[in-house]
Amino acid sequence: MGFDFTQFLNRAADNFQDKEDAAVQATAEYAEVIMADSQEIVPVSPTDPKHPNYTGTSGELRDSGTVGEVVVKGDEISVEEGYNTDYAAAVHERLAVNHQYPGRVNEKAQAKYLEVPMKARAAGYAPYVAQRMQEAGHG
Amino acid sequence: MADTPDFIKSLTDWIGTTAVLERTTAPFALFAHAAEESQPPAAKNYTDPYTVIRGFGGDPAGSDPTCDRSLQSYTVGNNVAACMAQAQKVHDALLMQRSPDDDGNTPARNVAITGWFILAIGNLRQPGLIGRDPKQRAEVVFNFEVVYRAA
Repeated sequence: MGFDFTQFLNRAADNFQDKEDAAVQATAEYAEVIMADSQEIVPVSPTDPKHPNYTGTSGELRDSGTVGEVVVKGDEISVEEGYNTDYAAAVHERLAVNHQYPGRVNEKAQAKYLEVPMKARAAGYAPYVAQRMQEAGHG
Repeated sequence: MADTPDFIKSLTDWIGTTAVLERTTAPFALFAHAAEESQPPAAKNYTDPYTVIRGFGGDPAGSDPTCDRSLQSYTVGNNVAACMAQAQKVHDALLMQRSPDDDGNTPARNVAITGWFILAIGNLRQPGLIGRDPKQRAEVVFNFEVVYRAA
């Protein structure tokens, strides 16, 4: 008498793939949430050319916010997100710049506009992914 | 947890001693929190380049008695190479100093500074050029985190 494990193994493989897919999807969603938080605090320069903080590029930094594709490599899942202007890093790192000037476009504008939401959301990432993977395993 | 006495000032004093950057007599090479540049005709109270150690992200986090704080090293000056070199000196001051387990690239831990005890330094990044300030001087920054408690 013998046992055919093929069906069991196929089901296990499908289950594993479902969970990985869930983790990828959850990571992509989480990255989008962080970007959404970031969009609320990213500095936007005034549109009025007469304003002393006018740069001529109002909204360019905000609109350059990008979330990349989720990458799975071995046991690691990663996603890159950021802002694609040549001054994005400078605006992010200049802590002494006053973004709370009269007539500002974004009331919540501040430096560290990506790091702050990323840190604030960091603790919630693993539980979120775990929950989504658990749900996927109940299919 | 309140920073009394001033943790960033104590840390900057320690970095100044370790990296051999002038903290006590003008012209200063290293400032805590912010630099107040003297303007002509007064003599310059800062070197070229100079570095500022400053906090960000609000009050220190963590649960009593330990604190976790995000800090930035900001170096500004007319010469990019000189800025990078000074930023690297500050960066290297935050590594383990000649301890038995020093592999040359380990962030410092278990260090007593005036009024405080540093448990660990983490997320220590490499210095990078981010741009030019309104005076067209190069700006070089790196960030790091410190877990510490009162001494």
